[in-house]
Amino acid sequence: MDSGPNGIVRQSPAPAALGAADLCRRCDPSRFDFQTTDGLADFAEALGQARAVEAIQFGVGIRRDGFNIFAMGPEGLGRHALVKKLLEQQAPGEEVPSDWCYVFNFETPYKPRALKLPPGRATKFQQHMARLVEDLRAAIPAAFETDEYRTRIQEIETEFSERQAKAIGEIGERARSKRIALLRTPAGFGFAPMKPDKDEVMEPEEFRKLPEPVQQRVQEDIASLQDELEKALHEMPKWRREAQRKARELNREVTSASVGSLMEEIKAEYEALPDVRAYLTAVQNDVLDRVEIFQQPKEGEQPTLFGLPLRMEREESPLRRYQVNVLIDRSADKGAPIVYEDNPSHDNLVGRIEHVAKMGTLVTDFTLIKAGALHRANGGYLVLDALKVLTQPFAWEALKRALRSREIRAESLGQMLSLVSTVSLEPEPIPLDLKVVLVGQRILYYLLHAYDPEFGGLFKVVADFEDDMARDPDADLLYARVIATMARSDKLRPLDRAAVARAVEHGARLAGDAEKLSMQMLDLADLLRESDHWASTAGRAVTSGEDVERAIRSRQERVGRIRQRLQEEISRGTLLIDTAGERSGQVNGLSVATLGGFSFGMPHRITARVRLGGGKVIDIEREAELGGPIHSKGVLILSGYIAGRYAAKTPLSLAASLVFEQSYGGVEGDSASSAELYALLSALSEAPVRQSLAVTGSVNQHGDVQAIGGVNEKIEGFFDVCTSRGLTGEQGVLIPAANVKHLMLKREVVEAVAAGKFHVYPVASIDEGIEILTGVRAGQRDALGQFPNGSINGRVERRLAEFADRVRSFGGAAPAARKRVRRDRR
Amino acid sequence: MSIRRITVVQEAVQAARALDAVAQAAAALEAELTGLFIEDVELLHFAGLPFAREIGAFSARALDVGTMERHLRSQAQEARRALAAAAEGKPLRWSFRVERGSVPAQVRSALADADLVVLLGGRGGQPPRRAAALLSAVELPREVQSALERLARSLAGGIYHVPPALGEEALARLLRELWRGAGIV
Repeated sequence: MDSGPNGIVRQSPAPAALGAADLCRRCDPSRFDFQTTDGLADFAEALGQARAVEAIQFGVGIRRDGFNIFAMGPEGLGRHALVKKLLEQQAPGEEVPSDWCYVFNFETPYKPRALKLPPGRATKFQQHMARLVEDLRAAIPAAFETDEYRTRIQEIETEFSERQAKAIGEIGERARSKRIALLRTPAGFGFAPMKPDKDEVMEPEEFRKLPEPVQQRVQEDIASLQDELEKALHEMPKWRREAQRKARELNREVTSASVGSLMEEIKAEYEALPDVRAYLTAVQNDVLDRVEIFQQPKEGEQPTLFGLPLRMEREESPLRRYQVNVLIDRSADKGAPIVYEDNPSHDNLVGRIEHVAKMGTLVTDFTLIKAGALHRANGGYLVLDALKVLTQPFAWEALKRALRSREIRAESLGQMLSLVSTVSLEPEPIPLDLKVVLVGQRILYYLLHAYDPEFGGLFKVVADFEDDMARDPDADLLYARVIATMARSDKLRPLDRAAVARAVEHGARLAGDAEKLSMQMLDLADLLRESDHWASTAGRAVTSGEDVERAIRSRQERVGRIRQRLQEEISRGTLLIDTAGERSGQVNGLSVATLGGFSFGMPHRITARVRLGGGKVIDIEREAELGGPIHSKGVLILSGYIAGRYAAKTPLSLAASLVFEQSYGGVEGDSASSAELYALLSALSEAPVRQSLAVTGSVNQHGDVQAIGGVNEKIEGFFDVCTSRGLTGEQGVLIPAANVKHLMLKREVVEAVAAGKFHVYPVASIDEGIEILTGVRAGQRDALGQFPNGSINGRVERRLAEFADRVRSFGGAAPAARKRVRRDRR
Repeated sequence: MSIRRITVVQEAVQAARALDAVAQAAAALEAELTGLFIEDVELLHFAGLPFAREIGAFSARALDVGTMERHLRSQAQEARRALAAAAEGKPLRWSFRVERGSVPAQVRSALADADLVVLLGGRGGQPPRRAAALLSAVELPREVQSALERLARSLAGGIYHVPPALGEEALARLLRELWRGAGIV
């Protein structure tokens, strides 16, 4: 390593290659004391998710506003299953919530009333009301059929018509006495003089022949009769109204007895429910006000429209107003409801108001209000997928509004956005008391937290799922029990010990860490199903390690087309990668590509060129806008390292360029920064680098090699290239020492290393790495602060000093140098 | 003796069911049905008077002969339509005619031509005020009787069964009674 601040020189010898045992932490099947997974008990708990379990249990237990739960973590961890399981443990012990109905609001018809009933009573209430209407349909017409009613209504009618006839008859008689006839004309009445000898109207000619005074008298008589008649006729509408009022009173009187007894019967059933009783009282008054709608139309009196008979459906009848729309029926429920809404659209959450087309227009009423997930889950738990809620238009806003106001307001999206301009309803909101569990990716939680000010207040409990768990022999056994549980619940063949061991190793590989086990339960379940398939193909009753191995391999085969094509192009020399020989300024870097969830590593040629310049390392990837910000950062660190280490006292008069050769896509990440630094040091020291080695690892300004991701894929990527050309025994990969614990390499690599045909070097510093790559000592500063002659560091420092001298030899040409620097920058 | 010709004396607006019952009776008897609308000459005389005014339930207005004739024509058309509707779909020979004259005289002359004359009253007023009169020179067979019972039910009013030999005074009174000022409001 470098000299510390106190000038003490630390010496680190080049590290030895790792032994085969370090490359993959095996799970030894012989440590298992079962034969097959049938010998293992079920593992009912959530493996490695203690934090999430505790959070969910806390969230479920706390009965306060806003303590809704956000269960976060990547897909495949079994978040939904765990949430469901924990809720299912809690919910049955809780009270069954109320039933809810919508009924007609007799005062404000467009605002249907919500009625709350004890669980299981709503449907009965609906049936009671239906029976009541049936009974009324029988009882009311029966009341009108009685002789008493008929006689009394006849009396009213007769009274009216006689009153009318009498009034006109009297005028007619008075007219007659004056020899004037009262005639019925097409639209009323008229008065005309009669012939003196006959009861016939006098002809106009005859009238004109009468002496003038007689004519005059007749006309006067007629005028006075007309006045009388007009007065009498004006009274008639009043008489008719009076008769109608009497008829209505009679109707009410006649029906109230039978309606009253029926209503008392049903009210008695709902003694303890004041809201229902109030509704029933409203029903009673309404029935008495509109008894005529209970008169069933007689045969042959079908309603018509423009002469066409209208088919009157039962639902369209005016009696619909007495129906009960059961929104929520809990009769079959045991405990609090758990609802998982798979399609959380706005309407599916808050419910909707449907319309029916009638005579070409859209109409609705309270019976067309449909429950949403919030109604169904009210009093219990609602589980939603966060992404689905967020991607459904207005669903997120609706959910928050409901949680905030603690009531559900059924409203269609069309209505909310005024897209549907038709008669609609404003149903009475229903009080909301439920726990929402959102299940989603971590990024959603953090984004919502950052950008939605309401989110934090509504989802106060976060259940953060672990991606992996610590691996030790006990953990391996627990994992084996999870495998056994899955195999049984999925009705798969039992797995033998070797199969379980292989699956455990795969779990560690998925975690990308020999000391961890992946919690990707979905992936594990798929692996078990695929292994079972191969066991079945091979005709085995028990799934063996071979089947699991085959499942892993065939999965990689299926998705490995692009990897294979890249390997092929390297073998054919289209992509230039050397795996033998030496060359200055050229290092094999390693990258990982992830396509469709499948990751694989590939070598890349990284080259560096140096010349005199203004102290800048040019990252060609960045200049070409192919490099991401982290990659650029890695390259900038190199400048810091070189300047700090070799040119602390002289100007850094270097111009260097770095490039990923034959890279046409973007480059991101700093895992190649050590490789770039090696290429640069090799170019500066002119020490050739062994092309049989590949390098991965990021570097800091002090030259420490730091851990990177995807170490297994990277090693295997280079191994595959070397294997296709034939292993020479020289080839290997330099990895950060900090990544050794992550090694879970495939069997072929481990075997090749054991046979001495391939090597994996753990490297902690640039000095260690450059020694392995060049075979030349890196060299440490001696007591005088000088690097040994011939060492890499000595050669680099001398080269840089030469550059600085040459710049200085240009003397007063500093402006020119500055100009060059500017050009370099460009 | 069988009934071969029936004449129904119509006012413009009648309960469709009453007309329908008459048409059914005619079809059952295989009799020919004639609708008769009488343009009451008394109304025309009345309209010809210089001071003629028609007083309705809501308004009063002056009348002349032209207006009255128009009214009667439109009523006659309406009566024809009503009869056509009642006869539709029945195996029935029917005709319709309009006569102008004194109502009793026209009824009497109709009775001379037909075996049975039905007078429908009521101007579409409320059921208790509807009524009908039957004038017949012959004894009515049983089918006519049952059809007439239906007619009576549909009218919910009275049926005046009138003996064949009816004095002029009595007929005029009957008509007044039948068509008295019902259905005004």
